[in-house]
Amino acid sequence: MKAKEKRLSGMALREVGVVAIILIIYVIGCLIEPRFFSFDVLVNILLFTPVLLLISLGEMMEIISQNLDVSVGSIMGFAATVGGAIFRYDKSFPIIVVFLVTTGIGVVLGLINGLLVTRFKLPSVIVTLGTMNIYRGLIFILMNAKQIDNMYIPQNLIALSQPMKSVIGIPYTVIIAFAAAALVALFLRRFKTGREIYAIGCNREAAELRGINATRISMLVFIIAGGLSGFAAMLFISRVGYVNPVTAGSGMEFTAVAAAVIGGTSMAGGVGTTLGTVLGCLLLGVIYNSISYIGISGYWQDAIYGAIIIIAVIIEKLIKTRLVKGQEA
Amino acid sequence: MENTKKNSVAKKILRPELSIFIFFIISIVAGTLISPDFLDLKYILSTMPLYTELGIIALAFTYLMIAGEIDLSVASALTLVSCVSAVLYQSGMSMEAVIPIGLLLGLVLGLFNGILVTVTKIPSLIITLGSMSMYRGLAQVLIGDGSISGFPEWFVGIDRMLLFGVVPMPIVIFVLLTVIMEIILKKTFFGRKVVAVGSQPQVAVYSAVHVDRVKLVLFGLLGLSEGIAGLMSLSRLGLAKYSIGVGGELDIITMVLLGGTAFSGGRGSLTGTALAFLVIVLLKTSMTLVNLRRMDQLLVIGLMLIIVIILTDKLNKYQDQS
Amino acid sequence: MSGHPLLAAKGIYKSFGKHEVLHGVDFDLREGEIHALIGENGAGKSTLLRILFGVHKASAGTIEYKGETVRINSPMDAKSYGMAMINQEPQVFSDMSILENIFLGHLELTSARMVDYKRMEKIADGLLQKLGLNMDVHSKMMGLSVAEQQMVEIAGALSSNASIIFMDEPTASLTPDEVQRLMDLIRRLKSEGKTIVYISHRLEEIKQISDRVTVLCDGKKVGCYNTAEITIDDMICSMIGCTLGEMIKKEETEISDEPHFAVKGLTSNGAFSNVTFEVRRGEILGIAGLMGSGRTEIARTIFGVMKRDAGTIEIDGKPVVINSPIDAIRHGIALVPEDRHGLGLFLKKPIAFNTTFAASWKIKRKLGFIDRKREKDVTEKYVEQLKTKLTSIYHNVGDLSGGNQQKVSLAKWLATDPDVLILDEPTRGIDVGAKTEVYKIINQLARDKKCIILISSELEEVLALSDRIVVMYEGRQTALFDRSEINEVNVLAAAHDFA
Repeated sequence: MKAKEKRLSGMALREVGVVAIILIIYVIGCLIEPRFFSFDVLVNILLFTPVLLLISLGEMMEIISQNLDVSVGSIMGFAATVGGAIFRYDKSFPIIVVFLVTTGIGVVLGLINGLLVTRFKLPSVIVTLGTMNIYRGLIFILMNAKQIDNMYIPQNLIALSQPMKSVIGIPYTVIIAFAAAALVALFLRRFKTGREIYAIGCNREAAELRGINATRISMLVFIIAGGLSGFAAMLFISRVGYVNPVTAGSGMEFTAVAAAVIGGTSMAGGVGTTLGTVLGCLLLGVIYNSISYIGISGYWQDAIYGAIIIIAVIIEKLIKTRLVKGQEA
Repeated sequence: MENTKKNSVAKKILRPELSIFIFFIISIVAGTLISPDFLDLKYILSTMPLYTELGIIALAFTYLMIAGEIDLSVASALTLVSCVSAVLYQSGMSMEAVIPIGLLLGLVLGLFNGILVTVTKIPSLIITLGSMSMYRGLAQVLIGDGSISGFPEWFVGIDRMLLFGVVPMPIVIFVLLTVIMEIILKKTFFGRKVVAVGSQPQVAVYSAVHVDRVKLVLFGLLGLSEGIAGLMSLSRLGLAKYSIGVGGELDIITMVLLGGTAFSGGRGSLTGTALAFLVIVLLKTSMTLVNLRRMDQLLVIGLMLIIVIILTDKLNKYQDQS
Repeated sequence: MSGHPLLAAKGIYKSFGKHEVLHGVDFDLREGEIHALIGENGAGKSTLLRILFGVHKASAGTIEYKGETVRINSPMDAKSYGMAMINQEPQVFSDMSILENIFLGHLELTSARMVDYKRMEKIADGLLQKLGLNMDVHSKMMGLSVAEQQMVEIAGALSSNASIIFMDEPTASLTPDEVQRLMDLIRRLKSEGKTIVYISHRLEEIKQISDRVTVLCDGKKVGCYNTAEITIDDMICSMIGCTLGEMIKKEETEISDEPHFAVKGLTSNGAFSNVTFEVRRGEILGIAGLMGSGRTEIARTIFGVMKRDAGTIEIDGKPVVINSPIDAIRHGIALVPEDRHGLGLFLKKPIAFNTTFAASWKIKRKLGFIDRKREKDVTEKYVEQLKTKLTSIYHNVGDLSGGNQQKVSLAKWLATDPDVLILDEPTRGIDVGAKTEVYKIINQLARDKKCIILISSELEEVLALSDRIVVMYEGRQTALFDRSEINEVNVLAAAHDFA
């Protein structure tokens, strides 16, 4: 069918573009530094993604529904601190339970965000700016500022991030993260609430006129984003191996927004795909790794990230205007 | 007749600036209760310069927010100006030459955002999300992990320069700027244009206002303030590091919102921002006096932000009715 | 058939702020009928429908469904009674597919609680076929014409098994073919047992398909008639029957010989092409046409808000370049926009602020400081001239009634001392008394030797006030009538591009 093809090509254009850029950067990296072309490096690139991916997925859903949440990094930090504290108390605590606890904390903190935004009808950026601070401060009041050292973290948790310990050679955390992404994709595409998230981002008034409860759905998105961040906390501990309450997750929210936007999520709302966000994370991972391998000083990282966000957004705008023009013609 | 009289009095008082004024009083009272040292004016005056740089940026930021735009790169720009100036001086340029270049750089950084926003029509939130990262990254590239110091005597220590032997120069600058900018906002046509652009931009277009030009000017003004602040912080600290001002954008946005400026634009006041600046200074001072840890301070400020924006929102809605 | 009407509204009052829009309106709907709702602009038709559909809440009055009083507080409530609303401007989810636009709000689910795309696809294909559309339901909504969007909306209403369908000016932006298709569809829906409420200005259409007609005038119900028993003239009579005396006509004014303002071959891609006309001082040029024919776009292009792709604008015979409203003002051109809320006035700002905003040079002192005294003088001058009713010039414009708001909007542009004044729907949404005053003002402006371009959807208005009329149809200029050629038949024919 003609339109189906059109639909596929319009959508895929974006993703293909990102894949192309990823490959280009990787190839250039390999050319400059042959060591770049190795399984280890690929694994490292992949390992960059789990935590970022989960947080970005939550952020993507927020942006699709016309919200912005800058507290996700603090939520993750909070949950990670709690998780670490549990392990410090008893290293043999079953990991599954701690997973549940951190996710639960993320859910609660996300719930608070959601309440503040929906109940008081305040812009989500500002509210989460405040909660970002509050949660980070709470870490100290409740948990004390001390770092939770490596010796307290159970081996089997750390093992999740190690490629050797995995059956396929790819660390379990990566698999878990991608599985979560698949679930998110399924939710967004095949479940009523998932479609309604797009609807309220696309045209909030029209959605409400059709009986879609925008407040409830916004709330749900905040909770999911929080939960994903809480879940990601454990993957964070697994990768990093210790918890520093001050820095854990700090700044991640911006990287998450970048990943989502690069992957095609529109800041105007109503548009965004899981695949795109995954690719966005991979792109950032490739850049991050290539910077260290190619020998560009690590200081360039922030600068490059910033430039990429701007470039990605401008390109998206250009594509959109061209599409609209094409349709009008 | 009587009802309208009461109403208009209520209207004058229940403005969004009221919430910050209340907080102002509360923080003074709380501060005094917490510590007897608090009311020592000299002490307060001596701690204020720490934040005056951010305060000056907050003033220009208020203008921008009234016009409906935002700039997250403010603190990073401050750092970049500081670092570039330091590097230039280190490489042999005289301080007298560095200063105007620093100001110019600030202007350029602001206009960069402004041009991108007005030309591409991409939301300023996104663009400045990117430039925030970019500017700080560039500062990192220039200066690395270390710091540069060794600036001329006459340049360093602006905060110790006292007017009438009592008031630190930065405060003087801040107060002057507040007054000037408030007058421009309320009493000139340019100020009206800024408010118009922020409250109903389409109407502004149809009213023959050059919306893009206005926004460009405001971004430029903000950039200039970043230049001033960057140089001031260089003078105060006597050195430049890439990590100065980290998290500053939060403080600045907090000051502006605390001061009663609506996030959606179209309304705001410089006096409110200035009052908010005072509140934050007082709060931080008293918190430091009781040795509240930095993270706890963050918590208090975060809480206050949320409470105030709820209050301000309600007061703004009240003002909109008649 | 039970004794009770399917849906009934009794004693409905509705005020928006101080502005009372409906005064005790009764309305009843019988099952299976096509019921038309007519009245002038601002008569309250849309408001009534929106109250029935739960978008607005009535200030007083009750709603009954099959004889029982019900509460309809939201569209969801309305939907539970089988109601659906098709708007004049369809509310679409442009980034989502046609399928989703049809089904959002009542998505079909499989037994596993997942979205059943297959089933919806089948239903949607069937519906679209029935409506005469040939599109892939998976394509995005973006890019569909207004008519197509409307059809999708109707498909959505049908898919939710609505039994009562409200249509608010559904044919406003449709071509004659599309209109006929819609009429056929409505008849078919009726034969399937649906009940339809139809708001329209097109009295011929109403005569064609409706069973009964309810006439509203200034928020009051004038009467409810069987369509077969009344003529179009009767309808017009009862709609405007409450105006004070005769329609104000254009007075004889001294019209200059040479045109002051002219456009030649004016084109703006996608909106209109090749428009040519000229206006002389003291003359009123009307621009008529259906919605979407490009009239407003012409105004916007002349004023510099929209891009000019071809053609020229001339002042006193010399071409001028207008790229923005600032240029336009400099050349003495002013535009009073149709949407005074969204484009014309700063609602939360005082009257004085608004009045002087476009003519800042009149109140500016050195360095840009505002001269409060001059601001007061300028504002009061126009308050007096236009007889604007207000409490204080320092109160917000948003508190004034529609008619007075329009006067402030006018004042704002009169203050720029324009030579060419473009009025886009100057009497939209204002009450009869204010309308008459505005007509008098327009006449005075012509007497003051201004060039006036009048754009209006109200045919009577354009016919009565214009010296000459340009008629547009789908972006093309179909006619330019002189005084002698102006009559309803000619203009209507040109507006529909007949022969």
